[in-house]
Amino acid sequence: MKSFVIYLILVGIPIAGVVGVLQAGRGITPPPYVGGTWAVTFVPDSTCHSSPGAPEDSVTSVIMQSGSHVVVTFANSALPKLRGLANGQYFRVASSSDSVHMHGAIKRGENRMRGFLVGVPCAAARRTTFRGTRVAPPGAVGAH
Amino acid sequence: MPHLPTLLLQIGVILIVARTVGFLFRRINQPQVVGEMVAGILIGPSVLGWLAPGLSNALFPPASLGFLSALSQIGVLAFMFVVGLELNPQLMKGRGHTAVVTSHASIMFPFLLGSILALYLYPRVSDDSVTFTGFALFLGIAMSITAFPVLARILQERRLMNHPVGAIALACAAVDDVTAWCILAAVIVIVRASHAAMPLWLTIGGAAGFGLVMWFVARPLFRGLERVYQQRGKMTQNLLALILLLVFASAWLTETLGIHALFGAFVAGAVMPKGSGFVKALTERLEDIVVVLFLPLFFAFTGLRMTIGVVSGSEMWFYCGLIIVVAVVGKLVGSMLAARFTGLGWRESAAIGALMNTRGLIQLVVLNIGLDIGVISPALFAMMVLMALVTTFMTTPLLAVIYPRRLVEQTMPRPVGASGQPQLEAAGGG
Repeated sequence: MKSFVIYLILVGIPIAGVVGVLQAGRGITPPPYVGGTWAVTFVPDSTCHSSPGAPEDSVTSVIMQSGSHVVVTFANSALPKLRGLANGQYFRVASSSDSVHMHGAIKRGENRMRGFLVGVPCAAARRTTFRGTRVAPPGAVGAH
Repeated sequence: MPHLPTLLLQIGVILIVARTVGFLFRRINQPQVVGEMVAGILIGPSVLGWLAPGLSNALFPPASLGFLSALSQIGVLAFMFVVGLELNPQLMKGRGHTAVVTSHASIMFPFLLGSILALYLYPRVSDDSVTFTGFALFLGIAMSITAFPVLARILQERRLMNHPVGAIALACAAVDDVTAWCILAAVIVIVRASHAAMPLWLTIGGAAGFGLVMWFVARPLFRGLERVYQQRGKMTQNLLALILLLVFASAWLTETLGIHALFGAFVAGAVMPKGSGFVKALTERLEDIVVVLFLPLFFAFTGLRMTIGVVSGSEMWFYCGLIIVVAVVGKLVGSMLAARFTGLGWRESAAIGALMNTRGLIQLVVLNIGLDIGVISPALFAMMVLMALVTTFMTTPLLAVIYPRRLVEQTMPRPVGASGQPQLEAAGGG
């Protein structure tokens, strides 16, 4: 009997606590999902097309999301690592020197995004628009 | 096709770094496995990729990591099978009550604290692709893990294997392993349920059917193989091939059912008949290659997936610190109080708490599953890998303070003969 009471106290109460926490957490709303591996296609100005430092026509971009914190990296591209915040369906990230900015919008529940890049050579004063399609969730192999 | 020279170079670099760092950690009285875990991080983008990005990219180009991933996953499957092999019901003899109460309390207390922490962390480090239930349950189970193989290695090194404290801790860890993996399997099913191709009822029914098949079909089959081993007097290559085939079939079945391949490998090891030389011979055949080659590959792969850079800013580091504090308080204090409730002294209870707080590579296995199924973000993955390292690293020095060697020698019971000794061969580096 004593063993049963001890077990009930040490195991039963925490189980009841977990059930209560799961109920309490149902109302919490997290930030929308923007992460994953994206195939990004840039639509550069025709005069920029072959300029040194201009973004390639299409690159693979990995967006690592933790809550509203977002880190964007580009595979096989001269584009720098960009960091920033997601706010609702929008995100804004910038390089450490703040010279390159990327602004994007993702529709909730969709695997497509669109936006523009500011600050890359040749497009310093203009916007290089882009479109992206999500190809894999975050954490996929090679997504570092 | 893999680019063979790249893959061979990667394996060579991983082995050199793992053995070197493992050796250095042994010099500071840490288990080799802790050093190998750190080696994995050193090779990855967090250290090598940060210090020498060009070299890192040349050594580990993203396109090549699929092959390393496949090798490391096969290695972890084999490792989980060895962990299952090492679960010995004899460990429970005479301490079943203490072991079950302490073990279950040491799971549920950190589980509760982990899920409470989820209330705070969910809106801060997660997103709406994960449900709160999945996130909280996964965080709970990730807080509750004890690394049975690392614990066994620490007990061996501190000569605590035959000491009452060591024996109880080992029995608790064995119960912990089985319970935690069963809970984890359920958590994976819940997390995957929202986007799984298979209906939930089929997964649950399949899991129950799998358990019955393993107990009533696979277990007698393994007993038959044990008899073949006893007749031949050695572990033949055909016998080994047949056993591996059954292990991989079990892993395939659980993966197909939507649980996880590692669960199948673990259960296959757990239902193996214990008590004769069969399991020992099997473990010896597998252990060296798993511990020396495959585990370092798994650590390296984990390190390559971990980007410490995503944990940036004081806010993120605060979350990381909070995770470590909750993990230690939950596991250490939870196990300690449970052991005390079951009648052990404060010092012995504290020693059991310190030992049960060892998370080691089992935690890494669980975290990789979490990242694979998308229930934790890359930043949370990095934070929890750090938590696994800290909790494993602190075990040996903490134990030395709580239960010093002189006390171990004073309280060591007289030998009671071979039948009374716990029979456990610790997984080498695991």
